[in-house]
Amino acid sequence: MKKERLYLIGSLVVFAVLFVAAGIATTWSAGYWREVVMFSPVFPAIGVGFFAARTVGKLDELQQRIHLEALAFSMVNTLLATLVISLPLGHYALTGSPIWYNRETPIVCIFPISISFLVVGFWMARRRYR
Amino acid sequence: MKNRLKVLRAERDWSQAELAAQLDVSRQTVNAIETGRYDPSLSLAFRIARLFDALLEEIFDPLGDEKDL
Repeated sequence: MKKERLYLIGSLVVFAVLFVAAGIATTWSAGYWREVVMFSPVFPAIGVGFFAARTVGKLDELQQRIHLEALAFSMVNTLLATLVISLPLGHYALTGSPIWYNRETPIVCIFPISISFLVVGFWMARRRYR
Repeated sequence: MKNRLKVLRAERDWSQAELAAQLDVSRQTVNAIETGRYDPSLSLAFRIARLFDALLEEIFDPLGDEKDL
């Protein structure tokens, strides 16, 4: 477990560094290296995903069920929430947008919405089997 | 599904944590099975039966819920 934790921390540190680098790269002029640096955070993110999958795989069957229920809750509700958010934004994009609207808003929203639903789903599932 | 896990555990004077350690599951899993909130997989049910040296039918009653209806 200690080895896996180190693997996770390492992946997160690399991800953070590359994420900052990708942010800086957006200011560079267009070119091959800018694209490489901007997409580079994907690789440590995949590592974090593998860690998450392996960690859940090692849990006992009830914990796996709780995680699965939380994920299902998160996925369905994120889908619905982003749909509800996207529809008016799509409308604004066609008809002229209010000041607070920008094209990146839906993408930026997905992560916190998904995590919030995951936490709520996890709490509900744990409560059910307590 | 009703079960006699709590009774069998009490007969051996084991805590939930001790039973969980022997079954290689979390204490929450043992608690959820005992209270009937969670039905264990076939694999875990066999492990429980083996640990208590009993048949599955002696521990788990699949008709338990239907009797309550």
